[in-house]
Order: sequence, then C-alpha cells, then structure tokens
Amino acid sequence: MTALDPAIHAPLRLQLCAALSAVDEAEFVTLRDRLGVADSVLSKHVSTLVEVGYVRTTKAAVDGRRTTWIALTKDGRRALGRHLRALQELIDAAQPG
Amino acid sequence: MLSGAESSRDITPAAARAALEDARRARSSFAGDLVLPRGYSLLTGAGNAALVGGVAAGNSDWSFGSAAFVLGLLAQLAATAEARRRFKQRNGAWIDGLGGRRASVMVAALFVALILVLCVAAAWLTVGDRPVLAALVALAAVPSTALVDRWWMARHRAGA
Repeated sequence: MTALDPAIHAPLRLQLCAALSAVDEAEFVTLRDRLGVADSVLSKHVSTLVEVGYVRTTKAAVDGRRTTWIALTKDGRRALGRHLRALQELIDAAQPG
Repeated sequence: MLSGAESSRDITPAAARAALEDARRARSSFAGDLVLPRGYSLLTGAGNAALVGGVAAGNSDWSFGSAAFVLGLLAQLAATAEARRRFKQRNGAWIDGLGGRRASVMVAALFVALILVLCVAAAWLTVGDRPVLAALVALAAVPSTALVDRWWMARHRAGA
C-alpha cells in the first residue's frame, strides 16, 4: 500500500499542493485568497513544503509591486500524485468485496 | 504533519474520501477560474503573424528581408512576453502549456506545428513571388491562434 506523505497530509497543505498542481506557478496572494487563510498561515505551510523540496518560491516585481510566486517542483508533483493514490487506496480497501 | 507514530492505518476511509474531495475541488476550481485576459489572443496572434511574415520576408531576396525577419522575431517575443504579463496579472497564476496533462501538451505541440506550417507556406509563396498570398497566410495566424488558445484553455480546464 502506498504511504501517505506527512509533508502533504495536513488539510491546508494538501489543498495548497492540489491548487498548485492546476498551474505552473501562482502568486502568493492569489493562493491566500483561494484558500481563505492569513498571510502568516500560508507562509508557514509554504515554508514547510519548501524545506522538503516540494515547492519553490521566486520573488518578482509586477507593475511596480513585489510579489512572491509559488510553484510545485517535480518532486512535489510526484509526491502529490503518490499521496492522492494512497488516499484512494485507503478508500478502496474499505469497500466491501 | 503526521507524527512518526501515525500511518495510513490511522486515517479513516471517510477522512481519506473527504481529503481526496477537497484536493480535487481545490485543483479543479483553480483551473476552472482561469480565463484568457482581454486581447490575449489578438496579441499572441499578431505576434505569430509577425513571426510568419518575418520568416517569409527573411526567406526572400528582398533587400530588407533579414531586417524584417529580425523585426518579426522580436515582435513575436515582445507579444508573447506582454501576453504572459497580462495573463499573470489577470489570473495571479501562469500555465505554460508544457507542464500540464497530455491533452493540453498535445494541443500546444499541434499549435507549434501549425505555426511552422504557416511559416513554410508563407516562405514558399514569397519565393514564388506571391507576396500578397504570403501576407494572407501570415494573417491567418491571428484567427488560428485565437481558436487554439480557446481550445487549449478548454482542454486545460477539462484535464484539471
């Protein structure tokens, strides 16, 4: 059975990784608004994912304002895929028959 | 994070189902909310038309052929950069079409092939001394780009 990934398992980190998997990169404030969390909360979870190499951040200036862009790394995409498979296996294993 | 003592066995199937649903919702709602900004396709289409026209002119024996090729290439690069900036500003996100699922990558590859075909056709017409037809082929890049842009966005949304 595929193991759940402890770095992704927290509900907000799973949603963050899943949202990032829909794009190549996303702006910090866009993710913050989509997930409905405070800057500090998102920042903490992003840092956790950066530490394990699942996410990378880049700073950029857009229309004169400094922004942070966040992207899933290849390792992050693979880890998310494994984690989702593990969740599906848990569900399948509980099905009768 | 899961503690060292926790494992897959500690997660109930109901919790796993809820987590999976949340993840799918987060992904599909983000992908579904992405839109092409106003003028995006016109901008990228004009850039591609300039590229096709530049290739055609560059392949001719006209005195300004080489300069036209360089200008066409620069115009295409500038249009692509501006389109990307507008997309990021509108969506707070970027998709390049090559990191997505197979369907959207296939659409992107087909589009590159289409532009190459237009370049070859326009260059061939220029060599055959049919500059008006070559210009029309170059202009065909505008609606072609608009159609492919929409198709590609639809594939991206459907695949997410």
